Amino acid sequence: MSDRPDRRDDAEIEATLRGLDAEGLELLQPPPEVWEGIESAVRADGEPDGRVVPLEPRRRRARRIVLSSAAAAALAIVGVAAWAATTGDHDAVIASSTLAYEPGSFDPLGAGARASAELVERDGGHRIVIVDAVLPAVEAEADLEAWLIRPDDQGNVADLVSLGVVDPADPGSLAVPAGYDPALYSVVDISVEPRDGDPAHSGRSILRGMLEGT
Amino acid sequence: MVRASSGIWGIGARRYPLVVQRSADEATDSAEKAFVEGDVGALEAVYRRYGDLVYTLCRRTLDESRADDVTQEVFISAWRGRKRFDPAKGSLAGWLVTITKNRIIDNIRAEKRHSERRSGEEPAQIPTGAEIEQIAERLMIAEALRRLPERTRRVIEMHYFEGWTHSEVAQKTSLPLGTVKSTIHRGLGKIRYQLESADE
Repeated sequence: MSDRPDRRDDAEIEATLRGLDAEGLELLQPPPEVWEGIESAVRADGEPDGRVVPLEPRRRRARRIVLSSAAAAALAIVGVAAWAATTGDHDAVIASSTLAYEPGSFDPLGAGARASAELVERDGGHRIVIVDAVLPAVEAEADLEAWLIRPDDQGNVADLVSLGVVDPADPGSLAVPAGYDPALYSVVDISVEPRDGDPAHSGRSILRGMLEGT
Repeated sequence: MVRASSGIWGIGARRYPLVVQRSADEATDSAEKAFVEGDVGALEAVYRRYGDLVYTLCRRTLDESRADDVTQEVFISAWRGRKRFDPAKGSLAGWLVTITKNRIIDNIRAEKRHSERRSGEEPAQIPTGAEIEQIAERLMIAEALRRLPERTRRVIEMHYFEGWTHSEVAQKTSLPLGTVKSTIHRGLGKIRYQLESADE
């Protein structure tokens, strides 16, 4: 928490809170045409730049192989990715994972769910393709969202990045954001995310699995 | 920054039972990074998260048609100018709200000029800059309130919206009086943090 001398004091926030009413808290949802217009304009701008994901040198990763099997799996991804890059093979499946539900830890909504994730190279970038998916419909005001998680050498969550919203009926493929090396962000996670404005992972995972080189 | 506790991922067993829990600011960092680096998927995720906030601010100050247009302009402008966003200076939500306020003011000025040309009369009910600022402030606080844990949010709503005293909230929720007071204090602290993130 900030200790800045110019920070808002509680009295100021309390005054605004007292002035809020139910209407003040309600957010309105824009009509679908708004997003369609944004998407159309962005597409008209052309493909975004900087989508090539740099792969780490083999030597650096080779040192990690003795530390964890996760690192070993990641190394396999790097190797196959490098092969795919040199052969110029587009849309090659570099790694894949069967995503699994973890009873007791995951959201019960995922109990009957199943899916596999494939890491592919396309147009110089990487994408996660969700295949063989049976995904649950989520409650109103919520979405399924895919994430890539980077575990550290001790198996902790070092970082994670959202890949975007997943349509249960048509999961399709999701771009791996530029700058996120899939050899490091090697765990695919699908979660239920309420539309509550909170960008953090909700903790409601339904499926998860680690990418392994094919 | 790593905040998860150690040893809970089961590396090697290919089972990851961890329920991912990270602070909002860390996850925001990831989303913001992907957005700035030009990932269209991140743009959609950002829109899903903040589209309602931006659109509501527009609707509270503009008519429906112009609110649609300005909401589009805000996200297109943010996307095209994403390199100018500096996470060190504030949150993405705060940056988007700032763009929105500016676009609304531009739109109102343009509409005023057109209206004067058309009829020579002042259009009715034009919000001032101060009013737009106040609406944005309230929406940001409402947004911060929505991010609070359910119990904290409920206690704050009972005290500030419904007007119950601390003692009455304690009685109605069966929580100790001290817990009610500390819950409110912590909740206000979290709201303040969100606002500071948006302000800087």
